[in-house]
Amino acid sequence: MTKKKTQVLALMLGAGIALSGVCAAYPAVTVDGNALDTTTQMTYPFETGDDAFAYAPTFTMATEAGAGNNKWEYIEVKFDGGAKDLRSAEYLAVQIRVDAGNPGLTLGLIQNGDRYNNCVDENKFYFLSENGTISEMSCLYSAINLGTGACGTLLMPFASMNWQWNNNQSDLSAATAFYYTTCTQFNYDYALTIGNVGYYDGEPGASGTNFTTLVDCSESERSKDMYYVDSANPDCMKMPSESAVVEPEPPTMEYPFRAGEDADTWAAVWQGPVVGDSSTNWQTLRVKFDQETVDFSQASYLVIQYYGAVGSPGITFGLENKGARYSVAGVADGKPVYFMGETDSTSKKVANVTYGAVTAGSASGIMGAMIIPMDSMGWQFGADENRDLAAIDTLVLTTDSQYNYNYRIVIGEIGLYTGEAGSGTFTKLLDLSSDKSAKFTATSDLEANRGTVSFIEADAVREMMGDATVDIKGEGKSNSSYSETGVSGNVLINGSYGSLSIVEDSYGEDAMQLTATGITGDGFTAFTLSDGENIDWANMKGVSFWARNDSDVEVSFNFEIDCKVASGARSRFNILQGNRYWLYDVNTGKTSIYMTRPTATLPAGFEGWVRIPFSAFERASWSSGVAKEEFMSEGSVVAYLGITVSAANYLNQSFSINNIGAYNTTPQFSSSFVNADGKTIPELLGLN
Amino acid sequence: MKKKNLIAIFGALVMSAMVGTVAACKEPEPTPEPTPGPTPGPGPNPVATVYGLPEADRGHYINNADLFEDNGTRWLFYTTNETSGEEDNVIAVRSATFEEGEDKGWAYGEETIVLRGSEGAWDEYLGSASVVKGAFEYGDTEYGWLMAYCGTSRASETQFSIGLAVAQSLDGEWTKVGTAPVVAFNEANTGSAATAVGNYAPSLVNYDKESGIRLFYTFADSYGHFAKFVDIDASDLDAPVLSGEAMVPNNGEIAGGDTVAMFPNADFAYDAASDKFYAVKDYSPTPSQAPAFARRIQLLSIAESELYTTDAGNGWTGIRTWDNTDTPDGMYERLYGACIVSDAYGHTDEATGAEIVYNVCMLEADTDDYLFTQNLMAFEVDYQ
Repeated sequence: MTKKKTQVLALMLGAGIALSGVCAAYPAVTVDGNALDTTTQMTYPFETGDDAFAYAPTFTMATEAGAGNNKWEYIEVKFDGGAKDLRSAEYLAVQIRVDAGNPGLTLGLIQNGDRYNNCVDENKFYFLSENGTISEMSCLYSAINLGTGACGTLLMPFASMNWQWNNNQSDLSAATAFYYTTCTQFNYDYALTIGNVGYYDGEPGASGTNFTTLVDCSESERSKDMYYVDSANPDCMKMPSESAVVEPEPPTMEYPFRAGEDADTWAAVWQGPVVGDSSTNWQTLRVKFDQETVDFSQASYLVIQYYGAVGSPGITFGLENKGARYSVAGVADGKPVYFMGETDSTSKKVANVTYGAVTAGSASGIMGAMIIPMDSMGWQFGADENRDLAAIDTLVLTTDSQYNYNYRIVIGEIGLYTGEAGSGTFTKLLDLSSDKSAKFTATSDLEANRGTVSFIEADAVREMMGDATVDIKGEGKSNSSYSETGVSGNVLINGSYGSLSIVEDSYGEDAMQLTATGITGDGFTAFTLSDGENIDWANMKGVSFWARNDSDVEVSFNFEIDCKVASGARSRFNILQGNRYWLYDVNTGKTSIYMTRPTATLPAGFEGWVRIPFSAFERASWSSGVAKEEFMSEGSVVAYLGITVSAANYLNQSFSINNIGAYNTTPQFSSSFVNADGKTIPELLGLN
Repeated sequence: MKKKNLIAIFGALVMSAMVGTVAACKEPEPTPEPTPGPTPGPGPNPVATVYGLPEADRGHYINNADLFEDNGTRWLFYTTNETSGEEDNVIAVRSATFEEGEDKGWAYGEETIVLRGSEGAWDEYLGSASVVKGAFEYGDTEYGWLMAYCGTSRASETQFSIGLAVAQSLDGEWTKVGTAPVVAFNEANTGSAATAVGNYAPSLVNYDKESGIRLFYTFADSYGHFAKFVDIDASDLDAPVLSGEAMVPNNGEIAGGDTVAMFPNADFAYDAASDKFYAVKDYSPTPSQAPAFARRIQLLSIAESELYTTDAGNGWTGIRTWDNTDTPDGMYERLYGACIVSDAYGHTDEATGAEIVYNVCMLEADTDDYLFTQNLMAFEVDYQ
């Protein structure tokens, strides 16, 4: 098979950030050298007709646009018998049926977590219907649509597939699964049934070509653990044998916690380590109650105020008494757990307990109540004499950072519910109307890679400096680095190597000193400073922050901002060259209108405040969905904010930054004969 | 001073004469024959009157003019070379009065060199003067005139800074202010500093007609050529009070072919009556064929308030762009380095039109000594 390299796609700044925490970017090529076409005559490789999918699971995905905070839903179909060497494979064949909708599918193979898939636009893929006809599909936005009601076999030429990312030097010698993924922002309310999977080692239909089965469900249902499901719909996967199972009604009760803007006051923010461990490392958050012990013996539900800010970690919720733990890991998998948004009138199932944990992806980005039926938990371990629900002293949340990391969840008030939902009684066990931070403790097996806990202070719900918000601070961040030897700290750094050090700003407060320390990957060091916090900068004028150039030359960096609008659409914006912005130097007292050259630029010696108007931001060329006019418009939020530095141009040139927010009033230039009418930056910030 | 060997000086001289003929639209005065006789007694030197813009003598050039009118007298400052065939820049001035009559007009007097580079100093190589009237004190002496000029210590004519000088009379003695530039080249804040032009094309406006000076200039490095300004309380030039620098807006109807609109080599004038600033700037990008001077100039205006904010406004309004088709017989493919004729404060209050003085130059393809073909010409434009 001949590959024709017709186009080398530019690697774009920020694309890696959007797609993956750490991502080795590969040059991608479009190809059009497949021998297969719509006239090819071939034998259908699988069963056809009514029995074609007799034992195949159906995946019913999110029903609402943007579910789970624009969640990327993910289905993995593991190969029978473990890893397979697919280096000689020419076509992947996937038996598939589109039961509802017509999703844009990104799909392919998994090896060591690396993904070999249809990431290159314009590449061709084929769909073989059960009646033998072949249709051609062209990849667009790294996705293909099979068509409403399609039923047959997807044929994926390996020559049309590429490594979307490959951090482990994978080479298809040990592929373990077929997978597909879609984002709920654009793909929802659809269902697929996935049957057998196999591959051809030559042209389909040609003599000498062999077909090998990788996944076989032609005779019986496979074990459910041969599938991995991460969906906004906890009941996403149904085996044919489960079709008659009737789900219990979710509990209905009055929302038991605070709601609105102050709902998270004094809540704890549990930030997981930004990178995973190579082996088991249990991260644990322990929460004490207002009373020393609590009687759960008559409780029907454990209720926890919960907000999933970043990631969807599998959390094991438990109650402890003298080391004996009653948790969701103490019962067989499959028990339901519910979630009720603070504005909802009823709850809905958020997860079935899986691997002894609750993965609440569909609740991401929503403040609400996690409602855990007491019979969805059981005694997990502990001495018999301590297995007493009448004397519970601690709520325990655990997760293994070998698999769950870089998550951020908010745990607020805690209560229990006795009696039937709706007619029973709610009792609050931890009231956060005041600072109870001493009741929260974050630990881990390995101290070197430990999550942190911080608190949302009552007066810091929206910290302001004059007309500017303060949304991202050095406070709470730890020294972090990404280098050849590994990663550390609680700030995600990726792309090229870099470090974040906590230093003091002009006022003695913690600031973040950022340094690109090595050139690798795409040549840009990316520091993720906010992810999933949905910061409200709508209708503001621009970005405000304190900064200091700690190097001896001018330093430039960029803000990578994901703006998510009310419709759920989300796009990346960053700064382009030639735009005017403000510098107020606290040492000279002078305010300048500077120019982005090429991005946010700090002159040598600068220390002070920077204001960059939103008009200096443009949508990244690779991003789509949100128009420039919608950037920071009413109802929009900052879903992601990172800073990128060209490691090639500013290697080891440090600068510090703090108090990132948005400003409300455009400053005015002033001089000995031009009056700013109270609109100088120090006046607007209240520094005078 | 910088020396340059001229390979084809004869060609340049011929070309210079030809340019001068067209530029001034006036036959050059014949060179007087030496007159035998008694040694002249004391008295004023004879003035070689030139009607219309003066032209460079053979082996000389004139560029980067600043022309303003004060009490019926026009003052033309410009950069020229002191020695024929050399590029030893000096700043010179000529005054002019208007004479009625056929083939008359603004009658320019003799050239007076008013500023030279200081050997070994930051302004060893200088040029591009801009002058305004006002009230300035320096070294316990009152001065009525302030000049900004650009200079560099590098013979490669890179890394320019901008300095100030003061005088009590325009064609009298000019005193440089201090030993350091007022807007210094900062290598640390310059892309590709070794080859960067730096700060050039100063253009002064006396904002309040007293001592409130706005100094516009162009900053150029590897990111492009952009206009900036800094405000100076120049009442006490021993301790001038400078504002922070401000980039001039680069949005609106700016003629140019750059991805990011540039604003190179601009001269500014202020219309306080209508709260507007006018500018005339070079077109960018410049041609690849030498000389790398602009091939068009553009006159624009902007609301004063837009200089002081980053809120998106209308930006610059284009008034007129000129190119070679606007020059006599369309013969000049280089138009650049223009200035707006203003009053002595750099104002054009309530003007209904403008007079633009600009440079022309021959191409290298026409003569190796094209630099010595630089001369001045003028356009007039009605704002209506």
